[in-house]
Amino acid sequence: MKAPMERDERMLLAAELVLGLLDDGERAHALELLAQDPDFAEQVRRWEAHLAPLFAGFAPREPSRDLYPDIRARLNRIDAVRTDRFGAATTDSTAARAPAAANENDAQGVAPGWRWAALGSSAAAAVLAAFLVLGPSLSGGAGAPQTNEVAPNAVAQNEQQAPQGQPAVAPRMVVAQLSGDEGTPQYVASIRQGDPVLRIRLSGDLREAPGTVPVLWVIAGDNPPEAISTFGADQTQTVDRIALKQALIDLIDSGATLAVTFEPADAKTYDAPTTPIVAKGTVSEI
Amino acid sequence: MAADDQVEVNAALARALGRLAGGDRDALHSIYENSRARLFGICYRVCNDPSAAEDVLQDVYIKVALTARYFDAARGSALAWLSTIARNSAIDWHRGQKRAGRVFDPSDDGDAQARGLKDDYWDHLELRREILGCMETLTGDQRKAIEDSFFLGLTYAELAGREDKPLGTVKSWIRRGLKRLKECLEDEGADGTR
Repeated sequence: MKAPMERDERMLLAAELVLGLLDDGERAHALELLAQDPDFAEQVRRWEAHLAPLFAGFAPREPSRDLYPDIRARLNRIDAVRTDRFGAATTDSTAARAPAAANENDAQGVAPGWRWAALGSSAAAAVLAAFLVLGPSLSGGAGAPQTNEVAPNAVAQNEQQAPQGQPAVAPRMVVAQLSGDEGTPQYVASIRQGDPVLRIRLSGDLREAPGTVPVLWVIAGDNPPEAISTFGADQTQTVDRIALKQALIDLIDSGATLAVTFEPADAKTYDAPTTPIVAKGTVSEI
Repeated sequence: MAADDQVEVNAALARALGRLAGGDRDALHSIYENSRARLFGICYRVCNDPSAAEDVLQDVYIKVALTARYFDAARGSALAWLSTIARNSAIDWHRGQKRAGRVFDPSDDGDAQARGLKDDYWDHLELRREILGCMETLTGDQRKAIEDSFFLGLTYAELAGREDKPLGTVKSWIRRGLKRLKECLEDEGADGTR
């Protein structure tokens, strides 16, 4: 049972988050609480419901033109990148397939869907560094597919760091630098467009405590975090590969945040974070 | 929009969101047709920039297509869910502008009339009598500050600048107002999970 003062403060913080009153720092704190505290998340949901009738106060207005063709074209381009390389897009794809003979010069490799997700939050140097860390050559070591059913035995595959191959044309990728509280980079995650595999590498000095395991989460907007996978099972390896379900790729496409927590290694499932987020970041296109 | 129409639109939107969540991208068209004016109205008002509002609206529908699985009809109407995404996206745009050094100028609101509230705003609120009644228990300052925050997506600091009042004063108006609102909603039994 939380103290009355604390409950009041949390209730107000939830309302302030919903209304958009908080400055960037306060908002980041509230969003972190939202991701990790179901009670706070419930308070946020209630304020959203309480205030929803106010939406009727916005006067409806027509855009200057029909925007749907542009919207649909953007969505089609997002889907086309996947379809090109993996056949007909499906919504229940849970398995990573070995990368096809990718044509990196394919004009379809441009996925404007990423564009808006990249809100200019990443420094070009950091992204370039991330790119170099993970290496552009993604053709080797695919191994067996991995699903996103997160159970202790569903750890990500490890792979040796790819050799520093130098393709003539660098593939388009999205990269997220996951940083800790102090802004220290701790992990680098990357996904090549059209490839349903996320690669994650430790770039800082974070180490999980004995008996815990790193879990990667995706947080879309103010929705509850969803576990992507555990990773880092084999400490002799440098880059973990995690196969992504179609639905999770959708979420990452939508500009979601990636976050890492250290969860008890003996948990049966990872339904929600039970420990503080140690690093987080959003994806940007390179 | 009459209440019956709104119920019908919400039902159609909820069905389409279900199809979208199931992978039917074509369902987005009917969602766009049934919600674009409402969502554009939100983007337009919060962004205060018609061209930016149209860009944000496109982002909103992409986001809707990619995250439709999160819509839960048990938690609220489809229009409310879509409107929340639109408002949050417009606020994110607004914050991005600020980070880029474009400071909100409270006097730069020449289109304020066009961005004004609907005349029948309070009629709609009668759909939810508890919030209507509770908003009316607030002082004028409290209610106006909360409404400005909701409709313009402004932070405490921006509201203080707009009202030319100390930050502490505006914060106090809003926090007291929110506490009062919460107490009232609890009294009215509207604080359940329904």
